[in-house]
Amino acid sequence: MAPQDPEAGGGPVLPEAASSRLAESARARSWTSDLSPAELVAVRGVGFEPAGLVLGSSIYHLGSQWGAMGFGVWGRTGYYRSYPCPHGYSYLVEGHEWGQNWEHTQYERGMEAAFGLAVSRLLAEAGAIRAHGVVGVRTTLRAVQGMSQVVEVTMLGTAIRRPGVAPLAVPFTSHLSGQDFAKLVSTGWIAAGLVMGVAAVEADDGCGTRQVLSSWTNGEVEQYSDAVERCREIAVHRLERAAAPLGEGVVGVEAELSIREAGTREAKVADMRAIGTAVRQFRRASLPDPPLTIMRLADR
Amino acid sequence: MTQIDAASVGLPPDALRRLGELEPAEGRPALFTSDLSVNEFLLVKEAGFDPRGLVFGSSIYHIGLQRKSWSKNQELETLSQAMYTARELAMSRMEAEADVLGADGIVGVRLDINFYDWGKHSAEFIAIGTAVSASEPGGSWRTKAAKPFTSDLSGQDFWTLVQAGYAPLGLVMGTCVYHVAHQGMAQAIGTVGQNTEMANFTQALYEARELAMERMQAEAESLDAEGIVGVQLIEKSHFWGSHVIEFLAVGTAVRPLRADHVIAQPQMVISLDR
Repeated sequence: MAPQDPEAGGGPVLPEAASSRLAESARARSWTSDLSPAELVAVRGVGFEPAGLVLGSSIYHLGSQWGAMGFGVWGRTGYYRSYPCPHGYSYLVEGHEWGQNWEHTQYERGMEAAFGLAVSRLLAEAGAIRAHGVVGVRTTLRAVQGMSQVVEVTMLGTAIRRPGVAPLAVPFTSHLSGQDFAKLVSTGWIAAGLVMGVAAVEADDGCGTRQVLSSWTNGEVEQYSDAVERCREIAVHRLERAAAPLGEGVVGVEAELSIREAGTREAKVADMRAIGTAVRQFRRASLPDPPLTIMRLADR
Repeated sequence: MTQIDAASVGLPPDALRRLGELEPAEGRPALFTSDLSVNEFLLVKEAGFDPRGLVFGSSIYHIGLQRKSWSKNQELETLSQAMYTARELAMSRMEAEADVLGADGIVGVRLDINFYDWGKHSAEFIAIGTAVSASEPGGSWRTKAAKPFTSDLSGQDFWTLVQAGYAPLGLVMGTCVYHVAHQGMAQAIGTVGQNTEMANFTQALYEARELAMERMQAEAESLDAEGIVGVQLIEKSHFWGSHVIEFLAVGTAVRPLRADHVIAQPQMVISLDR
């Protein structure tokens, strides 16, 4: 999610309670943070100070997409592959249906928009307290109970600032801990932004796939392999595209693939989310001290 | 540069497009992605390597059935073969991705199996790692088959290994799926109230572990490795019930870079972390 182009969400970005909380802490010259003591010391050690705990959230309705042939709003624009019947039957013969893999583009765009809105609010809160960036951002995604197709994305992190430096046009965001942030800064790297990629690919079984699944012998389920491989590639590709304008690389990618039911249909959907922090080098430097080999006197 | 035919191992076209965009091009510098932690990232750099990209390969594999006799200890070859072939497919796709990037090797490889409710008797085998290249060109880090090296060691372990004058060669594995015989009635009655070794069970588990380790060793020998570090012996029943067990031995085969293998004297620390 490129923080440069916060999604054009309608209405005021921050609720009144957020503005007043941030204004109050600015007036009182105090700060809150969810940094651990070690993180606090690490962040201070590289010349930053905590500015305040910041939050961004969005509850988002994901549009539907009915079928591979694109009756959804966006139509069939993503990955599509059909698996003809290996016995040579045409599409409509009972028991010999063709298989198809197709991408849920509508869902992907919705998820990206929801993340984009949460990030833009997180950035707005950070900007309101003149922070330069947010570290330790934790992202939670959950389905809202009792409402179909509605998800809540919440991002929580600690805004930090470097005293005496002019504010940035867009603060950076990062899912790295305070210690990790400090290590990067002391070796000449700066976190440039939180980046993410989402992909969802549905696999509707063909009769060839069903045959493999019910066989007594070993064999690769090619239709499923392809669905899962494509899903990973598409999600990581999106993450990389989001990172390219921000920095030279991405560290700490956390990727999670799950399989869920496709609504009321029998088909399964591979769902992949990847999140990482783009980093940019501002100074060529090796480690300030060579790594020290140590023997830990703790359990691990 | 590439040694592996990407299409023949089943690399999707999306993968080639994605990896192509990581390379530097007109008006666009190179970009890397990695699932390395910051510690690992900095230590891999310090060891003289640059991360190139997150690489992965996966295979969804249908595991066939095999007849087993109730009261017999035996290897289930069909299952052993499925567990091995499917991992090998995933690994070869991951290696092909690293090869497309022209990387010297892959660190932090994780081999996972996911059982989704996606079809009975089928599982996703996945291999994920970070492709790396030596910062100074000209080194010979690839294996003798000119493939990128693979290693399941973390960035920290990789740094330590290179410091100590070893280079990783390849992730090696051996697997054996074994059926442990059920105890007969007479046998069960005969041992009531007694302290006695269950010779049958001992023998079964012993043999299965040995078979898995032997296969792993054979892989290392075919790579001309000096040894294997970080071997893990993993035992799992997956979905087969309690009497069928997979024994998986996995480790990193290494070769020497120089004759002495001395590292700086470790300092003792009391960690203030938990």
